[in-house]
Amino acid sequence: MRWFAAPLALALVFLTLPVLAIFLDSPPAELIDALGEPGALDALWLSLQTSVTALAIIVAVGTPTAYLLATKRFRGRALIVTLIELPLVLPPAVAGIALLAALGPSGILGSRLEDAGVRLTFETAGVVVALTFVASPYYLRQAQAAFGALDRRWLDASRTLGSGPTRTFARVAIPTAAPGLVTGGALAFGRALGEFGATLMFAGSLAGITQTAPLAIYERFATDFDGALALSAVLVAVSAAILLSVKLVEGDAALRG
Amino acid sequence: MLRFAVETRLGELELAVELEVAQGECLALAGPSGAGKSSVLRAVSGLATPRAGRIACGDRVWLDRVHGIDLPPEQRRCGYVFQDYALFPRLSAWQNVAYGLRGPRAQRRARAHELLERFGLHARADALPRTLSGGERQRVAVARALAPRPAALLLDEPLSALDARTRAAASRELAAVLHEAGVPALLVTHDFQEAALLGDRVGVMDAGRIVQLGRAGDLAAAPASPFVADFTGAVVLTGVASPGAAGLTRVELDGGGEVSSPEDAYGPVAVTVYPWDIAIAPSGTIDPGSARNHLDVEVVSVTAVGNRVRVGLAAPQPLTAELTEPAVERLELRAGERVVASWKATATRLLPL
Repeated sequence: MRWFAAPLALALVFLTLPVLAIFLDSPPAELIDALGEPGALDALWLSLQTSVTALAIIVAVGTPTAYLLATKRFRGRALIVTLIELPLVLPPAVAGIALLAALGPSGILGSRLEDAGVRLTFETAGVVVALTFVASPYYLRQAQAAFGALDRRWLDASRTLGSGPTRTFARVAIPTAAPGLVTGGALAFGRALGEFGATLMFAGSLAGITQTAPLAIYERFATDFDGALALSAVLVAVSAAILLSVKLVEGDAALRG
Repeated sequence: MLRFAVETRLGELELAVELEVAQGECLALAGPSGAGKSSVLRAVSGLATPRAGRIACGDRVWLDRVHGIDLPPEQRRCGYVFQDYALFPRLSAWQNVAYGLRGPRAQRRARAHELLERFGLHARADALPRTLSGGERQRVAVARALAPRPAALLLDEPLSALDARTRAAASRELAAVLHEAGVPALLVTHDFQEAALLGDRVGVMDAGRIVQLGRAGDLAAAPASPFVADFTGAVVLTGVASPGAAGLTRVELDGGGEVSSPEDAYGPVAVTVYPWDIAIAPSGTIDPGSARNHLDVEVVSVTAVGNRVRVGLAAPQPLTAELTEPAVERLELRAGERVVASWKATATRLLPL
């Protein structure tokens, strides 16, 4: 067993060294100064706003969807599950092209949206659409697993105790599946925060409007490496916080049995 | 009065059951697993819709496939005690009981606590289900089902999740609760003894049908088929145990008679013995020296089941002997005759009640 320690050490160094390097490459004071550069905080703020909005949409629509898919057996269910998980394996660039083809100015729905006065490309709303498209499968998968693990008799018991399907969903299914839902939400949020390719292709990279933190990092890294590092450091901190909170929720759920 | 007739298909099995349960009556459906017992409960509660049938409770029609009536479970007011109890894991005992109640929180809380107190669980009101013992969970599940004052009560194997010791006490308590509730109760169990203890009537189910329906004693004494004969298994008598001679436990049977057993017990007990362990002899031929149990009994019925004969006896508690045909002919047994039933003390099991 002893030689297993070598690949473990290799994996640990390989995976953590680049992340640590973000913090070690420049003195902390310079990183904080770099955040003061015009546009840096705007990009972070935009990332946060669009990711939170996307998460809200994903949770609002995805929770009942996942519940239905996890608890009802119907014809075509497996196909639907596969289709909505497709963005999970789609290359981000393909996702961006796909969104353009559907919702872009000359896309199959986009022209009609344009007529109705709704414009998505080069608009903050377009960023939200791209994030929602890319991140929702992460939540849907996790939520389906969480609802699928519920004991059906809890739901049955709720019905015989006078609660209809909606009340049963709200009072029994969601609270009992909550740890899994939180995990799914955190994964989707993390994915949305780091989204790059689809946003760039579909919404563009306009500072203050569609330029999220990852896009700002990309724009800066050739000209202002410290600025790019500073933004990266903030994203690392936020991602680590998300990961940590997921572990805490999972640990808590495991303790509660 | 709960009255229903349902027909449905369960995989390979064709389920067809028709029953009436009176107010305050407990009808126990007993049968091997896969007989369709739980499916009957699911159909009555509305959790499953049968292909055809009609269900009515009092003057409310719950299901009528012909007239397109099918009330969802939440509108049937049907208390359901699930197998393994299905308590909500993240709610405390009192929150579980209060779940089916409507109205202000303080009022629901008061009613839940009142019910828990009646079940001797007041001290556990704030406990989560996973910290409760099996017996406590069972009582919370029954209290939860009773809380919204249901029109009928359905119980799916209410005692099978309990260990043997808890089961005896829980069964006595449950019988009292069911009678106090005063609503039709339909109980499902794979254990005939449990059905006999809890059910005013017992329906034996096999392959989706009720093969025989009647009082437990009658079923054991006069089974309609070898299946019922095998399934009904042991005779159950009740009595009070105390230490007897030669290290044996002496049981005074309710209604008269006395038996001994090598098993330890004290106080109210259920005495069980298998019909094939009981021998019958003409009156007045007791061998007083042997370590056998002897009861003066009256023959109530003589029923041939396959190549065996079931003899229903009254001691006056009902018991059943299973004999071969030649033995019955030799003894010239017929209803009304007085005989002596005897069996080995070692064939006598005691279950504390």
